[in-house]
Amino acid sequence: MDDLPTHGQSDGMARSPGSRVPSVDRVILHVDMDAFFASVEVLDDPTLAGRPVIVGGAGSRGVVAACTYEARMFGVHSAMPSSVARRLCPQAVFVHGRFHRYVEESAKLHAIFETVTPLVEGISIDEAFLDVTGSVRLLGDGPSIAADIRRRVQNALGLTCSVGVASNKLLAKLASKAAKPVADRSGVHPGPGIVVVEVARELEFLHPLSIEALWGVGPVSARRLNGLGVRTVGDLASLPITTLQRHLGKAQGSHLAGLCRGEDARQVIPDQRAKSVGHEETFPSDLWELDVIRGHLARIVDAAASHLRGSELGARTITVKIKFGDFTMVTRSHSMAIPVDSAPSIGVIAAALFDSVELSKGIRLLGVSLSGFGATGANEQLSLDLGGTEGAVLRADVDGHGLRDGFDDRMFRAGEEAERLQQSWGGITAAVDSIRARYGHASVGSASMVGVDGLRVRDRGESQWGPAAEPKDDSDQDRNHRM
Amino acid sequence: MKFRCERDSLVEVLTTAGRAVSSRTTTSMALAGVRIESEGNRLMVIGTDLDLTVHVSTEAIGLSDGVCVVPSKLLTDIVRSLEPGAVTIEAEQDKVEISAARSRFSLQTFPSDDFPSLPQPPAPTTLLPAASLVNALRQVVRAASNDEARPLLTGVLMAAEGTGIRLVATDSYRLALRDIEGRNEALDTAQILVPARALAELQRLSALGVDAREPKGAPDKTDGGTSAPMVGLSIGEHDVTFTAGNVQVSTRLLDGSYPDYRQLIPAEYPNHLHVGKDSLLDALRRVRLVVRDNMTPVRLSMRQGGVDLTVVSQEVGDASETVDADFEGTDLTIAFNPTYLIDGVDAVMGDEVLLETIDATKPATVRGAEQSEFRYLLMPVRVS
Repeated sequence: MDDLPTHGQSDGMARSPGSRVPSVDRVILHVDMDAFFASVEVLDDPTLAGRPVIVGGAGSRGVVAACTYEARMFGVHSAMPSSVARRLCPQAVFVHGRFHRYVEESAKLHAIFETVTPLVEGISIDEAFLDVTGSVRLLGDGPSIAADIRRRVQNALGLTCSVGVASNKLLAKLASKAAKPVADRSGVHPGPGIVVVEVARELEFLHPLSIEALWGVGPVSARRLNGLGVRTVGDLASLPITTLQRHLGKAQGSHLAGLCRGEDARQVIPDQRAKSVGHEETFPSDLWELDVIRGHLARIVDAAASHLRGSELGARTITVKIKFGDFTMVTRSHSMAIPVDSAPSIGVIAAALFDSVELSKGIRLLGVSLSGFGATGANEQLSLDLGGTEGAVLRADVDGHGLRDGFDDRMFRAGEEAERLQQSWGGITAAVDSIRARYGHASVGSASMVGVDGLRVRDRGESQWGPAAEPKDDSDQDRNHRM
Repeated sequence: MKFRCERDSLVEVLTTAGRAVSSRTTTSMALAGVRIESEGNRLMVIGTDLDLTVHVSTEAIGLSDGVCVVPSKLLTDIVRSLEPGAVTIEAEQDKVEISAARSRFSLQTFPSDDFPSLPQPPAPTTLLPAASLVNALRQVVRAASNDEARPLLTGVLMAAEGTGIRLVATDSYRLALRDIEGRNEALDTAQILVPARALAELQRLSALGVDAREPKGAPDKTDGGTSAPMVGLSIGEHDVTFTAGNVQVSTRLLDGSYPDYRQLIPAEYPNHLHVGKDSLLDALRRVRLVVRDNMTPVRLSMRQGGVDLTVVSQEVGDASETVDADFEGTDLTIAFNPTYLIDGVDAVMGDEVLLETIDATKPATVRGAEQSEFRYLLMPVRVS
């Protein structure tokens, strides 16, 4: 064509990066705690300092939830099966996660964020995006707000975090990653703590990164792109969009083309209230015995109901999730006319849903989640007795997995029973809550929760990274290693 | 096909027929269109989503007979936007040309063979006074459920009752019942369950001649010279057609046995509250302003001389108001969903409302103090 500087697609590197920036540059921070769960454990037990610490399920089916940088030196990383981690780093200290502690520290973290800007979007318990565009006049520019946050987190929590500062979420997240400490065989190397991607220099930062750093580039896409000789984001940006689309599909292709120009228009959306609460457990070995499974279900229901009441809400929709030994999964849900919050009323629905599932395979994971929140007890719209099921609110998600005849009828009866139990258990539930508030979670529970070692009451977050206990039978364990 | 018609008449027929056209994309593209037929000086427009069909006709200056199927919404929007005056529509092959004054549009049409062929509905076998039907629909349709999971309750029951017809709807929280006088030969042996949606559309027809609007175009001769407009009813095996002036609304019937509503109506009530309709309605609407969810009830404390209305809305605030009333019975506090109660009180004809109650958990009845043809049964909200 001609020699004018181009803003076209063909040569991303030659473009002025500032040309596509919106009229007002946003200032987005991404704050990410360094090895959060593991750091909290070290904080609470200073004898762990400097040692490889792994938080997660230590059992054969457990996974690594977090680990200290000392453990990362050996190649351990989160989401890795615990068995692999143990092989890589036999001297590691395995700690079972204490979710309530992380929640406590996370609350302190969020309290600090809230003083900086109301636009805080929590991504997980230990990371958040902050849109500080409106705070810059008051609190100084992005980098100084970032430095302030790091200092305050260190003072208030005794923990370190890494902060990325950029003009959008994508770049801020990549920047916080670049700010983190790095652990390799030679040791732990502290990171810069704060990385700032300056406006108009985004591509300088972005293009040398490996393509795996981009959201939406999984191992499969990465392999495909490597096959085209594309390794860095810069390589990707120099590829014509049509080539990308041909190899990755139209949507994915144009999505990536946008990303590798550093474009990300997504807003920081302040946190919304949770839409569901629940509890699930993975068992050390597959469960087959109905009585045993029912006992676990009752305990899981109790944990979920207790969590629900903590938020002073009732739930209308109850969902039971079952993962089988072969990793297939079914969910069943039922919605009721009135919200309930007592364990017995949730339990009767959960049990009826559970009974509707064909159990020809052993159960690996059992979970209950509660949604459709509303105020309980006090106000209940009464219904006319229209007779038959027509008078009932009846809805079940049917996914074709072993649904037996008469499901609707049974759920209808369970719903009526649940409403009755909600009425009669209201006072008892309140008493249970106040006893637990005073004497701890395991102070009171239903008879079905009694085990050989006393009451087994589940806490929130417990077992979510897999079981702690090793199965007694070694051959069983071996079988479980094959996934 | 070619005809000329006044813009306003054309907008009227297109809008009316267009109400039955589904906005959702359906299996057949032609369902997004209205079928327009010109025959002599008669113009007939049909819209349908296969469940609900609206036929409407008007007078036009026919220039040549023919049929075309035109995208409903687009055509209506275009005609509505034209200058007042005569509009000429001419269809040729797969195009239709719309012209008025100095405007000219040419639209692609759907093949008319793709439009479902709909049988001409049978002649009406029952006539109902349009005014009472419209009133009855206004009173009853609101109580029908819109929960698709409970299909039977999305319908309105029409059944023979005494010498007239009874309409019943319930969403299981309230039940509205209205008797209308009329000949009921067609319903002698049958009761039908009509989708509330179809009745809501019927209610909106200006062709019913209520709301001081006379049917447009050439009125049918079914009036027989009487001044009150009538609505004709013809019942088929699976559908029902309402004929009002130049409009016919046909709908598929719901299939199933309606709950036995009679056993729900208490034989007698110990407590009677007589209260002015407007003062109660105004007070309810005021206290409802602090309600921000569908769980917060309004409490009615009934005593000699008056009723106290209270709403306590968590995280919002509260509101209370006293309304003068005559009360016979035992002092009682009862709570209702304010919207449901307002629906019932608002539906009452006359100046005075009678609220009958048993206790705080049994069904209450709202009705006019001087009339018994309308009753609104309402379940309370249980409060602790």
